[in-house]
Amino acid sequence: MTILKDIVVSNHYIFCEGFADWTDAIQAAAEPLRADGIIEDSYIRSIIENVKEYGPYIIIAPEVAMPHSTLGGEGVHDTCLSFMKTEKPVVFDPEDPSKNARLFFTLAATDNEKHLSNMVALAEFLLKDGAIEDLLKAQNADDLMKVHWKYSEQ
Amino acid sequence: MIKILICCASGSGTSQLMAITAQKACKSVGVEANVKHCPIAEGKSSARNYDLVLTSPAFIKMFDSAKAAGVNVYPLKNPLSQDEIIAALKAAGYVS
Repeated sequence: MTILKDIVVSNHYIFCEGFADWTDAIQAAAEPLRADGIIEDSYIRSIIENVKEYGPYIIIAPEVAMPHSTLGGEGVHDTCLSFMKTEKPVVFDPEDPSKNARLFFTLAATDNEKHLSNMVALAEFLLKDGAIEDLLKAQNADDLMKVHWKYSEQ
Repeated sequence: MIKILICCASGSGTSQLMAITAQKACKSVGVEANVKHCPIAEGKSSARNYDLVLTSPAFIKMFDSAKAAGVNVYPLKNPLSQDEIIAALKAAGYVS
């Protein structure tokens, strides 16, 4: 499992206090990829539009969001993911607290095969006992690396 | 061999994750399955060719016509939950 390590090494992470508006949260979560030219504003807009249209289907587990739009879509130039953690939960649906999130894995994909292996690795990591709890406690890149090493050994 | 179709808005993120979970779940209960995932727009028309369709609760209504044609359609709330998928397999009668 090298997703977290890759995120740290390529500087694709951000720690934030919180956001009153989920659209700002998605913007911030995607910023490390945008800053590197991996995605463009049009891709971020498309993520936000999809959530507006279909609801928060990007919440993949309690506390975990996976902002993404179409594979190989407009404004995407590489395959990778970024990580954001917020101290305060971001609310997607005021009537459904199970759709709150503090961990964001933003996806960008142009290469189907690499994307699939990223997804498998992400799923396997998040399904490990304690992985989500440990990420929720992380405060910086060192903590992310500690989580990486802890779960790499399993 | 049962044919499972999994759909989400983009067909590359949430449904991909659900497909990974579904493969694991099917294996764990000994069901042989061919799992495909795609965007809603594509899945709406091809759903009839599958035995089981799984999708986010938000999209379930889009499969009303497939359901009427006899396809088993179930919502998945948590894309990482094998239990939800096993429950759907049970409800559809593929697992006792």
